[in-house]
Amino acid sequence: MSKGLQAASLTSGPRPTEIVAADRKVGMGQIEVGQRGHVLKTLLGSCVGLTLHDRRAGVGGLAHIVLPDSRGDLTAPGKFADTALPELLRLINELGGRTEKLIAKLAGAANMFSSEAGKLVGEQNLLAVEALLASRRIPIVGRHCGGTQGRRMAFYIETGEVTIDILGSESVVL
Amino acid sequence: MAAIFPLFTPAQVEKLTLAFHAGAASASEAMTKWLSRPTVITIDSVDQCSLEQAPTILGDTGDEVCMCLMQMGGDLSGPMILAFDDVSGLVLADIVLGRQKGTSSGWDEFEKSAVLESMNIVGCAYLNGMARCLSKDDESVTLVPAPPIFLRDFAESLLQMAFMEQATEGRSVIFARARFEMQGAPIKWTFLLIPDPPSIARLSQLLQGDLSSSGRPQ
Amino acid sequence: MNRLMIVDDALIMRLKIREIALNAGWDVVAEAQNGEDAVRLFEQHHPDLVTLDMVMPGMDGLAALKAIRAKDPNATVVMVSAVNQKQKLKECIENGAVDFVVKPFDPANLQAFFVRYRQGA
Repeated sequence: MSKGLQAASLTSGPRPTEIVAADRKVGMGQIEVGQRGHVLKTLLGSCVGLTLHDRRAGVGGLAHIVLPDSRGDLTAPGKFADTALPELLRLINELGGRTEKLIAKLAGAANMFSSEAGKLVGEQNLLAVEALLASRRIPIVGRHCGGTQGRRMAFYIETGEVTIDILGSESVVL
Repeated sequence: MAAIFPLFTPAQVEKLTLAFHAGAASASEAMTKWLSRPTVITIDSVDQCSLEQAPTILGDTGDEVCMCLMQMGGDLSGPMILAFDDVSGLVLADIVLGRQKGTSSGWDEFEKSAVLESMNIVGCAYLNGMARCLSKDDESVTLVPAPPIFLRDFAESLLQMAFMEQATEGRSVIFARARFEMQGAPIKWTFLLIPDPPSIARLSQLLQGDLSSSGRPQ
Repeated sequence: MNRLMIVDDALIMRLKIREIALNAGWDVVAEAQNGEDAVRLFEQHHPDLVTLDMVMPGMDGLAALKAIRAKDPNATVVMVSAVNQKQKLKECIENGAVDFVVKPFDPANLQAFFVRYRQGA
């Protein structure tokens, strides 16, 4: 029996040679990539969860984006939309995924405190991610954004499915 | 605690901690009076962690939590939060409403009002204590909150929002935390005060000189 | 006449103050949840006494105090608030509040307060 797949955190360090099946949590401002058998999970408020999937190669990744514009700050690539997408693409390419085969799904951008500032950051995050994906010609095939509630997002790289859980509602599958 | 935040010297960190202690003491006193039973603070600290860890300071199980949230106003701004699970919150509601323990079973108008007013009292008391401590003879500090709102959602999602302002500035966050426990009741309430970046800068100014002694009412 | 208007955004607080006031012989003629309603209802009912919270959505208590006193310089308004800071107390007194009750209050003390004002009314 083959060993399972270890969810590889490829944001830093050398590529692991052994992979084990695991749910992998993606924290605020972080990026994770993986292959078939991996499940990438995150919890979202006003942040945007961006998944990219190359179905044929069986490779995908999830970026938990906090703010739209890095303004040149390269120290935390996953935190900003304009640095998260290139970094996510780089990591997916390293695993054998091809940019031209990728599809995107988005979730988050909620305004949980019903404040003007909260509404603004969610909207700005979304606009930034959408524009960046458009510039790379990566289609958005599923989305669950806005509102005032938090979301639990799970990306199953095996199937490409993204499930969204919201308290008090049925799960949604993107 | 390691170097807490670039703006604060060790001496300022000490004074900041004193100011939060004054707030916590005032809040504990108010809670005891409000509930007519002893309520103690078991944790009272100024903490720092990475932005990635910030949403998990109430636990990383992915569970939901209830929060009463008030935005600070005046000399400092940013959210104050009273967080609790359903059980702890409904116990609080029963006490405030003068009901037998276990009566409240869901978040209806009365239960929400009970916990929201508890947050109003605790939050204002915290700010009263801090304001007294931070004020000097020639400079009065005023800290007045906005009305509280009730939220129930994934803890990590709510905390992401709460730390969003600090997230714009750097990769680590700072916050004050106090945990309340009440004798003979299975409750745990966590109070958080999360100053936004302009407030952190303002605190740095306010912490330059000597603080009011003990922060006691003048 | 002992006609009272209670202003507080918290249902639980309006209930508590109401009960204490009724026990002290006051009639509650109006209740408001925010400053705008407080000013409107004051004009409508002209209560003998107003208890006024400070932290409320929309128009806050201090703004409501100013507006009420502008409409009636003889209005008797008591602030009932958890905010207990020198500058804020000063502002309330300067704008015509006759007293300030800090939350959480002792129900017996508040009742004595209502009795005192009833006798003076």
